[in-house]
Amino acid sequence: MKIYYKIIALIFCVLLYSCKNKEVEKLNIETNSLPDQATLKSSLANLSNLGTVEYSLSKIISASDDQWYSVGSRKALMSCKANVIAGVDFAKIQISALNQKEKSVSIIMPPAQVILLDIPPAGFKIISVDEGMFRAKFTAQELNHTQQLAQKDIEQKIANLNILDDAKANASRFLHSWLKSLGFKVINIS
Amino acid sequence: MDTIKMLIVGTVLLILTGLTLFFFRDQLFDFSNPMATKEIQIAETPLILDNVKEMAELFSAAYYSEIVLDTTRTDKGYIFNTKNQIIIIAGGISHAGTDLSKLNNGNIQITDSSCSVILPNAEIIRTTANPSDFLIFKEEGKWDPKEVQKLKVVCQQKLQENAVKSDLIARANKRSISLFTDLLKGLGFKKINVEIK
Repeated sequence: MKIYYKIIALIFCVLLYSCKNKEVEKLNIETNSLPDQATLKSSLANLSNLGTVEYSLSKIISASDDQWYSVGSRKALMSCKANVIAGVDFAKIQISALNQKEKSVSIIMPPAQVILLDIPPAGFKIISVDEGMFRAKFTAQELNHTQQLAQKDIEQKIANLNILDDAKANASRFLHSWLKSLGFKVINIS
Repeated sequence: MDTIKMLIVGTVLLILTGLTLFFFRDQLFDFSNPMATKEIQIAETPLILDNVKEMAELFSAAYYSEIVLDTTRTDKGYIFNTKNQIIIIAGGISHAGTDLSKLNNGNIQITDSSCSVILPNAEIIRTTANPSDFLIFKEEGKWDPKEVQKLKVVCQQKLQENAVKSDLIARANKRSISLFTDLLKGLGFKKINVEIK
């Protein structure tokens, strides 16, 4: 009878060992571009933003979902890089006064705004992923959700940066220099 | 008689207490499951400013597209092979425009009321695909987080390729010409010529 147990245990071990990865085949990537399909969004749009300043930012992301009853912890540590570009709406620049004889011009500049926030996938670095023995591994979906939380946090914190003031100052400087090259001698920007 | 009064007052108080507890139960008690799975949370960390760059880019056109990246990988075992598959849906915006910092006095010619400006050719400034633009549609088998991140980079490259294939650059050039023409008209120039280098 004991010999049967031994045989079963041996088969079990062989099966378990067979699950071990011997080699990994090359990734087979297929991309299907959806815009060709009529139902999905793909669009070209006109813009009119003059980007005048770019902030390069970085952030450490420490994520976990530990609870008081969890057996073992599950933590992920990542770093990310982000770029924010701010500027003014070029189409909304108003000429309030113009005197061609005196070569003077007065311009009203629209308020500065954030044009885009770019958190490139290449800017994410996975520093450490620590999953306890009794905890499930982080799924790609969970880690994507973590990155989305980081994005929200960055979006909220952008307001505390002085980027809009810098954007306004740079836009004013650019317009001043450009109007000068057009021959204007007295330039007022407000 | 006093006992009856006490009983009536006591009953009214009891009913009022009962009604208060019933109507304000959500505010007073937390009936949520203490054993429920907690969502992943991120710790409060500062946002560090690494660099500030002055620029003068006229963002004149944008192209939005969505792609599906279907990736399979086979892990060979000694007896069984395991198939891993991940499907990522990614959307992204490519911004194109004119780099106005390349404008110099040589590009601008003024004679009386006529003005001629030569703008540099538009280019794709960047393609943004932020975490909120990605959706992990299907995930089967084992995927290393670093591997998934590399696939997201591939998605971003594909999105940019789509933008290059589209009419984005031509659209951006056209829009830049139109914006400059309008501004120069407002500045009192009668004869305006805006061209692309």
